[in-house]
Amino acid sequence: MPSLSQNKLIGKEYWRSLDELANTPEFQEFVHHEFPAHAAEWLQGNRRHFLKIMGASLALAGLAGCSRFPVETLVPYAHRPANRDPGVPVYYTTAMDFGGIGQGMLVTSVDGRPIKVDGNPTHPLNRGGSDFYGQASVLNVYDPDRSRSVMKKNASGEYGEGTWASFESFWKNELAGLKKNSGKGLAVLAQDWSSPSVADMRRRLRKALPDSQWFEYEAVSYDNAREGTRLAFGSPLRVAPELAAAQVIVSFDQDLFVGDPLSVKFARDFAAGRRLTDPETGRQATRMNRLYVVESTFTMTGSHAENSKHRIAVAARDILAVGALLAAELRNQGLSLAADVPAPSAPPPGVAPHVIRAMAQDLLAHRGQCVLVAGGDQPPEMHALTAILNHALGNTGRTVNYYAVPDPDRPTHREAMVQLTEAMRRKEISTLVILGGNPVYNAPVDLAFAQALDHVPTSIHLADYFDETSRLCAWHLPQCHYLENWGDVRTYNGLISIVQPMIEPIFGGRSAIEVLALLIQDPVRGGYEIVQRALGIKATEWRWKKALFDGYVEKTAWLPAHPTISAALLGQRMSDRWKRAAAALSVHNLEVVFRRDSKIYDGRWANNGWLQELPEPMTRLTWDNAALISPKTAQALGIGPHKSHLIQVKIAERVLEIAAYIMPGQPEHSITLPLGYGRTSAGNVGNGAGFDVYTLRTSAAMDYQDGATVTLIGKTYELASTQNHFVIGTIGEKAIAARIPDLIHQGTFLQFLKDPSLGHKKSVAVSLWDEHHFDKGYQWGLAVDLTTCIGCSSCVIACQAENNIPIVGKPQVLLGREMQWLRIDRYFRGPDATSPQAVHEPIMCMQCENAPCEAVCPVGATSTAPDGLNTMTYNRCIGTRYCAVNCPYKVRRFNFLDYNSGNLNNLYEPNLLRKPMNDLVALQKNPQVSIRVRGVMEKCTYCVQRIEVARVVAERENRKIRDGEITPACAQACPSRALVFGNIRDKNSRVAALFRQTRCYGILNYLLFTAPRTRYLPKLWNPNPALPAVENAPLGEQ
Amino acid sequence: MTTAITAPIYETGFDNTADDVLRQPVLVTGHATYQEVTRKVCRVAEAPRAPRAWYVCFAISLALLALLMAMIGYELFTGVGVWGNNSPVDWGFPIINFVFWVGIAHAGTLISAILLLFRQKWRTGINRFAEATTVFAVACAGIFPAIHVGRPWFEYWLAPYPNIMGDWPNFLSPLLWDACAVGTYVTVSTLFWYTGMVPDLASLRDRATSRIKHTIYGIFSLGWRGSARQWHIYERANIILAALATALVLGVSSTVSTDFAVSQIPGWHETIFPPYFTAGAIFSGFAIVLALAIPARELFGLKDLITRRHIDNLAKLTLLLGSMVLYVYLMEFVIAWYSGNMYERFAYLNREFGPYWWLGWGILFCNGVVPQVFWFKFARQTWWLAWPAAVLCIMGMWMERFVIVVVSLHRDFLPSSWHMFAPTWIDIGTLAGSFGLFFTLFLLFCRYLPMVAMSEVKAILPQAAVPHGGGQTARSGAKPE
Repeated sequence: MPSLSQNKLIGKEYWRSLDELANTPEFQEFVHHEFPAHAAEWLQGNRRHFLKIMGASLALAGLAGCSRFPVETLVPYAHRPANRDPGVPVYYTTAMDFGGIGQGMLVTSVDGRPIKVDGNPTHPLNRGGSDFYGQASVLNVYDPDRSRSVMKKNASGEYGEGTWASFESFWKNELAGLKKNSGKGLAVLAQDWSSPSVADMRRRLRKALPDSQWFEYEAVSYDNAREGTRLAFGSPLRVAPELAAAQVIVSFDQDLFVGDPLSVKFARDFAAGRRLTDPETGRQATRMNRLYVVESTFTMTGSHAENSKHRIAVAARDILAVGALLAAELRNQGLSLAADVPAPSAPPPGVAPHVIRAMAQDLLAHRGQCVLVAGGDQPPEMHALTAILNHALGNTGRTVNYYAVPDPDRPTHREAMVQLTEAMRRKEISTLVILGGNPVYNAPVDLAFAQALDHVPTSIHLADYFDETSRLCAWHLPQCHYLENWGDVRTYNGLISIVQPMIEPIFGGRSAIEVLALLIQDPVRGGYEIVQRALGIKATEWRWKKALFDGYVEKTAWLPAHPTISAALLGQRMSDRWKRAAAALSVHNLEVVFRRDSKIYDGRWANNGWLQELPEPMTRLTWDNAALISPKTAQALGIGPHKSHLIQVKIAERVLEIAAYIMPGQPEHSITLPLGYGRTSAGNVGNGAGFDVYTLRTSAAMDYQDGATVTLIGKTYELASTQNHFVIGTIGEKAIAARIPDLIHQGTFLQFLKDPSLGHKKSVAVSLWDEHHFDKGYQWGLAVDLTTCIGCSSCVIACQAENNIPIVGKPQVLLGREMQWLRIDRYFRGPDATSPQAVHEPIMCMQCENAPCEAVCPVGATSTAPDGLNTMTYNRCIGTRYCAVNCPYKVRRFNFLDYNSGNLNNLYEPNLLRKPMNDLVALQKNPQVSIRVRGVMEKCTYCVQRIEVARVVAERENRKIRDGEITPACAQACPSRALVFGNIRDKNSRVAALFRQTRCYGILNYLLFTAPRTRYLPKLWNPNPALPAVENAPLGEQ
Repeated sequence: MTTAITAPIYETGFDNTADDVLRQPVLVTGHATYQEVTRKVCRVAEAPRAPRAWYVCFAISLALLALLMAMIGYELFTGVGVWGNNSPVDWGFPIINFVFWVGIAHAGTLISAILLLFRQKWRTGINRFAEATTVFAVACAGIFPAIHVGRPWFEYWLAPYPNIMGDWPNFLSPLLWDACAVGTYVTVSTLFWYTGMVPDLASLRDRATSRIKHTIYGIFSLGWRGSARQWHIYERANIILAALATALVLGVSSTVSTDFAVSQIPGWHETIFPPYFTAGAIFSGFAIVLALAIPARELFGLKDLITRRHIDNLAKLTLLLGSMVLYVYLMEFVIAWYSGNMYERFAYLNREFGPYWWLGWGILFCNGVVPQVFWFKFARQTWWLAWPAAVLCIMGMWMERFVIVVVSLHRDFLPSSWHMFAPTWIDIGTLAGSFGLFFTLFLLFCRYLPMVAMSEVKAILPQAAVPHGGGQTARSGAKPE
């Protein structure tokens, strides 16, 4: 956001009135008092004061934002600007950098407050969908734990508050010293940003201080793919699988759908090849893609493998061997490979040759229409191997694209960190500037970054939280949120998006590019100008405005590279690996796999309550990570199934204490350890949640390592899972197994082709009386396609953000009081616990026409509206909870305590005595949805506020609401477009097209006659006919 | 009537349990003259000091009552989340306790109303304090729905009162039926209890030695003078109230059962629930009357008025109702199996073999098996057998409500929502506190009100049955010449 003194850069005729106002002494005074540097005042002030400032920032958002509206006045709204109504949300495009990949976002802003982040419909990665990181990112804007000021360590090692001015005066001295020897001794440790502006500032830094060094480090790195492509093609490339074009997909340990920066795209493309009924046209598909998964952790991707034979669970270190076996089999079947790919002497345990053979046949039958992908945790050889196989199968350019990376020469993140810490130890670094990241927490443990930092006289850390690293640095600088400042990002194919701020930095933070500008004393200081300079576009240009409007800068995408295979080294490196064949895995020689956490990634989202409380999609764990152990291995280790035991994982001399979670589908003797937990300085939300796995992760083995032993330490630990985990018992498991076919209709693609109804019969129940007919006006319905639903949980967070759903904290989750209106049920099925499948079913209020909840409410607080919505009148609810009791789907959520005021740690204090919640948190709330007090029932309403907005608009325009005009938050977020909402009475609507399908069913409708408005399309699988499913009862829950 | 001599004297502890079809049973033992009855009953209320045991019990009860107040206060100011309720077990201890206390209430009404209509004269010895248990138990029961809701300060919305919002309660909801039923029950049972007590209060008034007692008893005895007209009106009122109360005995528990039966949760959605709840309620009521009568007749020296026959009859009724409850338990399993519905079947399998299996078997034992000891006269007549058996029945009935509420809810249709329930110490404190309220009221009643209906007992004294003309004993008088 431009500081107001720079308004002269803005076109005069367009912004005339603001300019006029900005030049008045009163306004300058106002700016001086109210803006940047005084952020602390905001929070100490009262609500009215805050709203005043919000009003100002609204005006600024208009000014700096989408540039569509001329802003005429600032505070107060004595004269309302044209096209701007207080309380009416406006939408801006912006972008978020995640894992070095830009995500295109669309922000909903109300009165200057960004309250919701969604995928930008025009952005090629998102196409309107979003993952839960994007959805949850808005919560961090209002996180009271974010760093609030510059902090400076004094001589006695204590921290005191500083200011940006004090830092700058300090830095000027420092810079003078550095300049004398052209920057020698200065090192910058940055995150892996895709930003062209950062690259530009980096060039300027090198120009100013040629001997300075620049390192990049990410704890969760995608460098293996870079190195793999270097191995296969001779130069590092970015791999972009295009799953939409693929009929056969083979994943080698890549979790495509959750936590990957490209998840949104993968989910959409995967679903596109699986959607059997196109809601737009009503046409039935004649093809369906097929997914094989070779993986070391039971991931969301693995749960979509067609049946238990399409998923090979092997230890992470054996996945390359499976790939090599597949390559050998493909060669046997006549595929010529452009490189020597030696096969291992013996197949790894648990791999059946006939499965490999069938996979190879399937791939060969789909040349040019199949794709192999490898996970970031797999070694470069695996990535090289998939590249070679993709190339040989004719997939390059069809189902997989490669793009040249902008920085081919940089060392890997691991190497960079090794080099940096060595240089620090050698005392070659006198000034270390850490831009973002948290190396003290997440650098490889053997490098002892914290100790190395002792050798650096001046350390400066820019971070959004005063975190583990900040606590050890001489200076801490508050970093602003991406919604608070200008920036830019590149997405996977190089397309640039401008990061557009939505609000003035609440805590006076600055962005990395602004800090870099300060460091080199660049005359251009504001992010706004830096971005324009780096992109070479002026704000006055039409291109700039269009880029802000579209959410990306046109014609900046790279062209796909056309690499040729030159994998001379691969064969040697692979046979070296086979020669180094280590001891077989056993209970005395376990493998540990370090994986990004599905929810908090590398730990950076640790203080985000929504993500902490989001049930991990596979384990359903909240607030913790746990060591995932297969049932058999757990048994061998003596870990009982009835409680969560604390175990000690030991590798060499390093020891980790962590709770064990028995995970069906986990390979034998391989333990997955999710990273990112056990933070000590994350903030009030993230501190103390889970176990810090980084304490085992060394630079030699960043991905997986064998040689681990596990001992029980005889203590138990409470894991808060939202699906019962430990106490099901035999009869419960049997009941679940019997119920799954009843609750989740399933079938195969071949069955579907023969009988599209999948044997689903219409209920023959005859009512004793004339039922109410919902045959007037709009009749809302939601169709959930379980085949395209990947279970990623974006919808859960989207719902939470849209509907002001509070988090309740781990103790409340343990009690079973989580509040999410939308949940994703996960059930395991399959022949046994070692090779299960998982099915996912989103459950929200079914909006029953014969609602069981409605009849039993004594005060009539819940009632079915004429449009079929099961409405909830919060103000009328007295909280008898009878509705929740009588709901067969258990979708109602009750405010057992006052979750919306006060803090999670004082929930049990009487209301009158409680310390109230920080006002800041309230600013995220959606003003269109009421905040529920304690003692009130709540539930999904199909985002009735959005329906009403559309209704008002349509009535004003004297027309019907168009199909697609209303999208509930869940459907909007869904990357795979599995949720379709609309008017079921409108025969041309998309939802009606899905409801018409004979296979469409309502859960338990045949039994309870609830006539739900949320209907499901069955989960369909497309197994290879050569690999039929093992006929057996489903597993049920563990 | 100067023929007291002709009345036979049955020693205290006389075994009056034997049934001779030719004779009316002896219902009062000891040297029971009219004066003696009055003296014995009034002595308790008139004694300057209660027995030491009373003080101990009262102190404990009062402490528990204070605990109840503290628990409720904390809950009201913090939220119902202080209990163990969760999703899916949205109903927990408060509803369990409510149904339990409502059940306890039933025996009093049954004894005083139905047995009155059926002319079961033995009821007179115990009806007063059985009615008292009703009133106090309903008082305890009434607390729970009130504190159970999320926003108690809006409870008045349950009432169909005209208001500016144009809102009206939803009469389709069983909770509203419940509120009406319990409200009626409180009113009728209190009236019945109080009306019956008026002549005895007058006796206390007449015997009062202090001004204060005289005034208080005087106010509450409503100017009773014992005129024939008053007796006439009194009898008629009693009969009318008995008729009303009889309907309530069957109605209240049936209505309470609709809270469950009208819903569609497996384990709740059953047509057998209304008679089942009624039988269970009366069963638990008899158990508690038995459990209270056994120590009370010892403690307050009322063995002549609450005789061995009374205990015997109570035990027999407990046996009868316990057997009915057992029948329902078994029938539930049969119907669940017969329904062919896997959700229904699972609810009952889970009851006996799920995580709360010990409660499932516990209720079969406590309510089904334990009352069967009352087939044996030895058990009916031995306090150290009868009293623990009665207490086990009470515990069993509380457990039964736990099983119905919690065990059915914790695993309903969608297994993803299954969740265990564990009470918090607030839950337990509130339950314990409700006993504190009950016993506080009960002990106050024992201390200050006529514990036995003197006027009614006098009517069944042996000498009361002496026909006009005298000469015959009550027994021989019954014999047709």
